[in-house]
Amino acid sequence: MLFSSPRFLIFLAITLIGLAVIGPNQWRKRFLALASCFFYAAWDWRFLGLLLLISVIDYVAAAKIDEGKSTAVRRKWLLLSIVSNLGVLGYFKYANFFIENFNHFASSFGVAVPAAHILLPAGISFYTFKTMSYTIDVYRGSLGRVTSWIDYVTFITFFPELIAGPIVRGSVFLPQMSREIGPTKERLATGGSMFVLGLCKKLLIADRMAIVADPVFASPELFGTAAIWSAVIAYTIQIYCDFSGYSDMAIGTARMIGYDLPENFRMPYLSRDISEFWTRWHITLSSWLKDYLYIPLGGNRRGELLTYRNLFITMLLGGLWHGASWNFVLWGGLHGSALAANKLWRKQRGRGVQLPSLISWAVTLLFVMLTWVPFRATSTADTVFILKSLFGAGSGHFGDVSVWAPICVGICVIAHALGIAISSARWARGDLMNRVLNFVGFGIDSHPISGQYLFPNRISIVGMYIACMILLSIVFFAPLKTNPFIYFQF
Amino acid sequence: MKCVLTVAGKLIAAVGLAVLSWAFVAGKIVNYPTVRHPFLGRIPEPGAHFVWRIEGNGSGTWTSNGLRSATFNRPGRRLLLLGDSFAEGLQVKDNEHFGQLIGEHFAERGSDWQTGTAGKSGYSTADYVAKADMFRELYRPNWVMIVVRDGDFGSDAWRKRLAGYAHFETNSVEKLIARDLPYADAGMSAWASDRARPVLPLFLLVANRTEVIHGWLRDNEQPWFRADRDPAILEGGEDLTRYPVDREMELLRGSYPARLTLVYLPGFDPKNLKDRTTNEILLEEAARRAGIEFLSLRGRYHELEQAGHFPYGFSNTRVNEGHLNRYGHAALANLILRHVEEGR
Repeated sequence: MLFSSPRFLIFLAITLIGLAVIGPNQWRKRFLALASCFFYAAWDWRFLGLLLLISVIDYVAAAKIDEGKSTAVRRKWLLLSIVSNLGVLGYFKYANFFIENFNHFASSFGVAVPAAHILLPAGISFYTFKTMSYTIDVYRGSLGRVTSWIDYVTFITFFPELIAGPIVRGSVFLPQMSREIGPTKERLATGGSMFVLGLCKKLLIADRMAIVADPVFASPELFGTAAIWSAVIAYTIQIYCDFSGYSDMAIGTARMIGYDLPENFRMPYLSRDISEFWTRWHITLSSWLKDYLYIPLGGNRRGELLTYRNLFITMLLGGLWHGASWNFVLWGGLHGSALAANKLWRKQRGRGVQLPSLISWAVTLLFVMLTWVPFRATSTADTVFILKSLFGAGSGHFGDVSVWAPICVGICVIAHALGIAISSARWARGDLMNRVLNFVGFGIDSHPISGQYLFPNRISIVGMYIACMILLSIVFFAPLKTNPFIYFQF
Repeated sequence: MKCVLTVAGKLIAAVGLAVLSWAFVAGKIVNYPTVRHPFLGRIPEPGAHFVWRIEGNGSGTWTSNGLRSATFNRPGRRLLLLGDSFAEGLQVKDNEHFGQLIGEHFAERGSDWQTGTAGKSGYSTADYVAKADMFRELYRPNWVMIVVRDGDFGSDAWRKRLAGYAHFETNSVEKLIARDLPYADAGMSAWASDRARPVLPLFLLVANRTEVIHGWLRDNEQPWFRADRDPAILEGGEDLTRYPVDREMELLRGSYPARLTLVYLPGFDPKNLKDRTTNEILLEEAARRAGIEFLSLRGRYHELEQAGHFPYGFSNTRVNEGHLNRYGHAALANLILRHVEEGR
């Protein structure tokens, strides 16, 4: 069930109504867990069992870790949790990748292993990271284990973030378990606003940009430099609006139910260097990688060279997490190298070497755009071809450029400008932006988990008019071809 | 209660303002005023300016009797161009339309040939057969060229059951006939076209989007929505071996005593321009057996590929999908002109 489909809207409505009418909170949590299992089973019921199996393993492991008297015993159970999660992830996601690469080298010796027919369970990359973080946090002592099985199942199966994140840690979600869940006027207003915002990003911008990018990435050899630049810019916008739109819809849905999910994007394309980019893009993944991979590798505590090594390895594996393809490994490696280079650069900056903000922003954005090429391209050969074509060395000559690319660039620029204005308005009460927002019927607030958000604070004609225009824009302008969310494939 | 009324009042005001705003926006996107023709049903209003920016950036005017780019206004031979939405060409301007390009070419060379395009969205071979007498009487053509695609001999010709359109069926003695359903002048677009011109664009936009949303719901298989999905198309395109194409061609041949040519529009694959599809081969051979000339736009695809232009698709839709763009119309005009001038 895609979040942007009528089927999901009906499912969500039924879930919210159920939560509203069911009395005791414990029964609401049971209902929510059941609804989440139904949501997951709607993708493919065969993998519901796998999700529940992983959940049971980690529940038991965390219990044993908590009860364990010796470090050896506790470590054994932690190892069981990590091995089973990574084992499942490795089998379903990477088995054929390794077989393919093995065959590539072994074929010259006349050896070949047949490829396995493995379906990738939806959300496996996300929920294995979620459950692993739970057991690791219990092991580290930073989180107490959950004693209520219902609370645990609700946490593991929570449908808004089950398939494509944000990656929610136990330390963020489990303390909310004592909360009374269910829709209230305030939750519906704030959550609904975020949901609609995410829907706009997905249907009006991301899907529109997919129309521009998809034909070029499918057959780059046909297209000239202008069309390829247009497609790369379009994909840069598409992946941001698709993924952040999905995250907004997930956070909004969770808010309507009564839980808060962590912020996942913070205007990443405004970053002035690559380190800043990774504090703004897919925040839950980058913080997960930092806490559970980079720091255990040693972080920056073992000297300069090892710091660069740790950054590179973390991002390399982070790239591989996205998909079983050398393109993703390349993407991760490029970002890892850039992070290492940035760390070195910052040391130089400390010695008085500076770049104007505008130039460092432009260089960062250009780097991010160019690295989206291996992320999106269907093969390494296509990656090389597209990068060459961007700088005039390609051979294609179909040159039709879509009118939607510059329009969506303009929309994104205006949206970012508004975002900056709203962010500064948050801290400057009574200024023009606050007055405008109040006139329209919106307020802004900051949540410790979900970050800044807009919410309707009164019923105004202008606010309702804007809402009607947005909904009618979706009805009249959304391309409405079935485009799953990009991160659903991970 | 007062609070509810206040909220309801605000909501009504907001919705009303939004609808008015969209009526204004819609006017910039689409405007297609129509009138009722005694024989053709709803046709573009003669002389009125139409705008079509849902797909492409079309604009122009129609002349009388539902003809676009018509020069049937002097003595001489008449070339009638029939077809469906691809021939109608709402997506391009008048001076980009293949019919006008052909007519201008003839006029420049002082030829006695005149052209008129009577394409209408939704037409199929069944319509060209069922309405042949009417077309002959209205336009008195010396030569008829029909722009066709696979569906014109397949699902479009057999499965459509819309007022004003024809479909093929076999009668009680297994004879193939084209049954024309009477035109019913109904619907919001017709009402708005006759009485409420300022909101016509909004009605047209709503009608267009309703069709798009209907298709999306059908394709997404919503549990409460089951549409009649043609298995022939679902399996990856029209399979014309399932239809009695030879008998359709014979009916078509018999309907037009004048010279008759089919102009086929194949899909454009830049990586494989030359290979003809099964449907294309089947249609060409059936046309030849029936004594109908057969042209294919594939003959111009090499030039389009060399120039780096897709014949289908627009900058505001998907590349290489949808209707003919201005490059496609130019290529179609060139194909037809070459055929006419070579006298084949």
